[in-house]
Amino acid sequence: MQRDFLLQLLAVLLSCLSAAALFEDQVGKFDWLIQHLGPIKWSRFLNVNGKSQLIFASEVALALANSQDGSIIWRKVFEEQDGDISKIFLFDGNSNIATLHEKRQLYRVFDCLTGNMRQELSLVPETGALETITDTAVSRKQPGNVMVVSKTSMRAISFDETSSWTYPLSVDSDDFVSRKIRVNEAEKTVDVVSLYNSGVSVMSFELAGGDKLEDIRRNFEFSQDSCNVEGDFIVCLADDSLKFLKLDGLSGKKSTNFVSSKLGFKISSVESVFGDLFLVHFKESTATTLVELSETKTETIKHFENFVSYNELSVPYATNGALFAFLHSEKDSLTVTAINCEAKTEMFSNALKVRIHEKHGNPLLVAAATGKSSGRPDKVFITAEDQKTFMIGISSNGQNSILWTKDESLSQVIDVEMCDLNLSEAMITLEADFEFATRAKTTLFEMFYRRFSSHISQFVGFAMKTYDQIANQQLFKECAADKDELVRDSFNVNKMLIVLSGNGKLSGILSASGKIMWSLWFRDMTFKKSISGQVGSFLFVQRGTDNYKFEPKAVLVGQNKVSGNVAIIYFNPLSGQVIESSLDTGYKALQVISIPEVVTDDNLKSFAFLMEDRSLKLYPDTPANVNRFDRIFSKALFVVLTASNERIAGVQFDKVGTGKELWSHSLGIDHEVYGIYSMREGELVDSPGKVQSDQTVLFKYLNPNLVFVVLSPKQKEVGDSAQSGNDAKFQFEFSLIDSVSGETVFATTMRRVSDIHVVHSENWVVFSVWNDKSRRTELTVIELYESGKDSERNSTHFSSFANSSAPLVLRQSYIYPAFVKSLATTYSEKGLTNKQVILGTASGALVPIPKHLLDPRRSLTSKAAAREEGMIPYHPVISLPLEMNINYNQSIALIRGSVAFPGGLESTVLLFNYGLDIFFTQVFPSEMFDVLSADFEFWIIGAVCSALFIGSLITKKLSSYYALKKAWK
Amino acid sequence: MKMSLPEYTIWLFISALATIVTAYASTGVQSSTPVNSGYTIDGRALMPGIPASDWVSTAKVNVNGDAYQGFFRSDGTFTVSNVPSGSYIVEIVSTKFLFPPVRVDITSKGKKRARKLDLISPNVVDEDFYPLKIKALGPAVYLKKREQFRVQDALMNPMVLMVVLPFILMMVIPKLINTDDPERKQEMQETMSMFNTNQNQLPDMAEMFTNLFGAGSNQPGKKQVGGASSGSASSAKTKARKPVSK
Repeated sequence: MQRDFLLQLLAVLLSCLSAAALFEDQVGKFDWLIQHLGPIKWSRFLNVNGKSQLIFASEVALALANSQDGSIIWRKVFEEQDGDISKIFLFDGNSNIATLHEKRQLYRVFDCLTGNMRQELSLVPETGALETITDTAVSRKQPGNVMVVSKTSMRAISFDETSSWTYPLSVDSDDFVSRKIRVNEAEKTVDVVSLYNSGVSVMSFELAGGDKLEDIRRNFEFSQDSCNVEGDFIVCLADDSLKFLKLDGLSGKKSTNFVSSKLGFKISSVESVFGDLFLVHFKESTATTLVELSETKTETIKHFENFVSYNELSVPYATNGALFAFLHSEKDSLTVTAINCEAKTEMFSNALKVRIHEKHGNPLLVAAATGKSSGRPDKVFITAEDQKTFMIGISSNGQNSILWTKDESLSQVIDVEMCDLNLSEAMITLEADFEFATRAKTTLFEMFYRRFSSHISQFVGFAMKTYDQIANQQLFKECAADKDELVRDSFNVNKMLIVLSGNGKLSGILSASGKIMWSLWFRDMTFKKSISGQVGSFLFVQRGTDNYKFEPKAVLVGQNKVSGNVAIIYFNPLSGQVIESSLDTGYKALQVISIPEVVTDDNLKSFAFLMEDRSLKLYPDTPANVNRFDRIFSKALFVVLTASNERIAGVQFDKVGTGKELWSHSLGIDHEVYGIYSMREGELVDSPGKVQSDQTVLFKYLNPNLVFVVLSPKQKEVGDSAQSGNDAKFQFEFSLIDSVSGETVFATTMRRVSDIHVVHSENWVVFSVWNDKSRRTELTVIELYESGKDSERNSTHFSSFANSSAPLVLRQSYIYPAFVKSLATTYSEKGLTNKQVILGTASGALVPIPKHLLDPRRSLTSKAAAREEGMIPYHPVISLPLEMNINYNQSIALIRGSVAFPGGLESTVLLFNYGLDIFFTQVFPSEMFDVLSADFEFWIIGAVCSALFIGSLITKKLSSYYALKKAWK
Repeated sequence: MKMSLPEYTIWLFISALATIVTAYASTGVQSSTPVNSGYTIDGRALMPGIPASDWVSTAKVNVNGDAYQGFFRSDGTFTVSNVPSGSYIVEIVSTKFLFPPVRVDITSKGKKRARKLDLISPNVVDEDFYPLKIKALGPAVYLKKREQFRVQDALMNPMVLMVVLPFILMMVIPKLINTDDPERKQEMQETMSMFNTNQNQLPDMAEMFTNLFGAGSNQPGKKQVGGASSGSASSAKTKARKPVSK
């Protein structure tokens, strides 16, 4: 019985799913993936097999990239939570690279060439008690030896356990500040420098065995604000002079004193570069000086007027001395100067003709590589303040060009919008014709004339284009440039993606090619979830391209970083031009609300801010538009949902101005809002009901005012955890609330769950939870149907007040065998195409689950009635074939969300996914029913037709000949 | 089974203890602050026939989603470090091969055991080998192969067979039967007329088309030959000339 059931299930599944996979030749046809690392914190060039490659890292990822084209050779992405890389060590010979994760207390060594792990070390002491690490160091010669110092101990941790050692440290006096480690490679010793407010103590150990060699304590006035240990020196800043003392001087028999040196400007900080060389940064200026500290004096090596950054210069061949590259700007062009820090001589400098300042902010980080033959830098890698990276190639004669760029800010996408491209000329004439025809005084003859003339002009246009193509010998060849043109394709599938990143970067990406067409950077803006409202967003397209008479217009809403006031930017979503911007409007707002119902005469959709005093500020705020709002909402109800830590409330407005609270729900002291999820604005639902097997219709409860509210228990202190036993405090609450009437339609609770993702569409809600008790991901679907009689409902306009009967709530849960990281659903042009729920998993896969698998009416037993309806019998585990994966083998690292947009074709859904990487694709939830399939072969049908035609001609001849012959018999 | 009262209480106590222990084991992470967060999960993944160095650079080990991660060494072994006591799901994420997930329990004293992952009944313990040894289920297939045009396939297609077989019957069988036999002919004509009584009234498509195409080639020479281009005419002529030829 069980087996029959499973077989049946399998058969149904196979029949409906088998066709969903991509074909081998469709790889990359509909999709593109851009891999990122996040904001780059560290970079260096490496000599890999004779080529200089770039090894770089952000806080969460480490990668090796081809320095010629920027393609990633290997990449390691670390834990999203507390996985941050604190330090990176590149070992001699450049074959090993180590990452140190202080929060996780992990040390990982990777092979630079393959990216495979060599060793992993836990920095947690054997006693098991976690200690706060104050400083770490490694022996440059030996990758497998980490030195960790904390307040209570000094430990050397090695892969080879016999050479690990621990030395307990004590705090001499209660004015302890911190500890530092210095490794002396030459003498194979390690020094622990403990800083106190009253002095310094230095303990030396033998690197191999951990034998204590000496312990010196020296008392002097040591203020932790101005003094620090940098390299081999204790450096103190005193206004415009530098006081320093070499640590080695402490251990010597003769006691040395601090050396004071006046530098003329107020010093802000001091940085150790190499050996005795230090960079001194000054206050109130961008100037920086490279100085050499000796036991008695300072000596200036080089003074930079506008210093940017420095890095070790990678040299692919053996050379004497340590080369460092310093990036500084001179007369707004960047210059790279290489200095041999061992010989203390300037090697060369090279001006880069790259303008970064205006658009991308200050360059932050640089890595440079020297060419094999010349010994001059041939590649420079720069990261700008807006997180864009540039690889600049320098030829031997000093000419330079940008080899490739990448925008790492796209690893922090927070909002996405989509805008149609411009109508093509032919479409515009068609639109104009329609407009002409609908005008009042148009005679039949005029219309005919217009139609005829437009046909003629179209034909002429086509003929001209064909002639041009023939003349240029480009007939039937698709121009590469066409793909990037901002004109709609005939199916309107290629659109402009407007992507907002967390650092204020706005990018326009063409969906067909993944090419970044424009980018804007608003460095003074921040985007807090509160301003977008619990259900809103930061981006609105106010006017699309459908009306060809007006330019498209979009709005970006955020807050000013400094004042916290509302900032509004109007821009053209296709060209990326800022139309109007006010970075500080002078007022604060609770949330922004889009009001697509109120449209101005020039086709602009309105939006409004809910102010702190519960009043409404409408945009555009022309009197005519305010009137329009008042007129529309004097009859209908305009309700804004506000959520704070204590309560959720509905505020009603019947005109612009102050609103009044309609209803409110208290959250209680133990709960806070986890998320509020509404269905998408203006979502189209094609069929209002489902026909059951007994011919009755189950009508969908389509309430646009319904919101799904998730309340989470408040984050408690670590001390009072679940052991207190009061479980009510630790449960999540899920409820469906009508935002107009405040009525709770449905409510449920769940205990010991986490990582909740929700999608709300049509008459259903699907949410996923990680069930900590059963150790599995559970998907729950809630569907709502009308329970009243058909006659009671108004099919065109839903009213939250008129509907008296509570809806029928059906629900069902399933097990999903993966960790869900994002949940979304597909939207199509007319709402006719089947729905899919798109799951993003922790392993980076995107899985579409057909909505009919998440149907609460799936029955446990295989009933005849259910079979007649085509319903799949219930099975607790939803497992789908690997072929269904939307992104096949291109996994998306640290996936955070997916957004679907309807394509111009009913069958096509455009899906944008973001995480550390961004991935775009087209999905076809009901297959491509409205266009010929990709494997439709025109030549076969052409050949068959012509063969039939020729065959009929031949047989005609033959038959007449045969008939004649027969007649003569 | 009969039990004395003290025995019964002891039994009750033990079973209660067991339930508490299992409950604790399954909720270890949340229930208390981790005393020791330095446990490791060790293991090895293998795909028979393929050296580990070929595929491990793109693979990694996920423990409870991406909460803890381990990376592969070139020999296919891995270590996930600093995992506090609790119960975990260990998955090997590879775009090339499919691996079964395993559940690993670490007690608060650091004792580890592996068991097969059973999502439907998570309390069932089906112990597995620890340190983990995870064998690939097979290569991961994401893409469908496009069907290629092959003559054999095209011929064996039922639609083609449906067309070709009657065609053969029509062409071959008349050859086998001697149509010149007048008696047979008579017989056949009779049977044909029985079938064709109704159909004769319908317009003949072939006739229509030949008329259409024939009209296009309006050559006087052809007409002289005897209007052979028109099917109906030719059949009329054959009838008319029959007696002559006899």
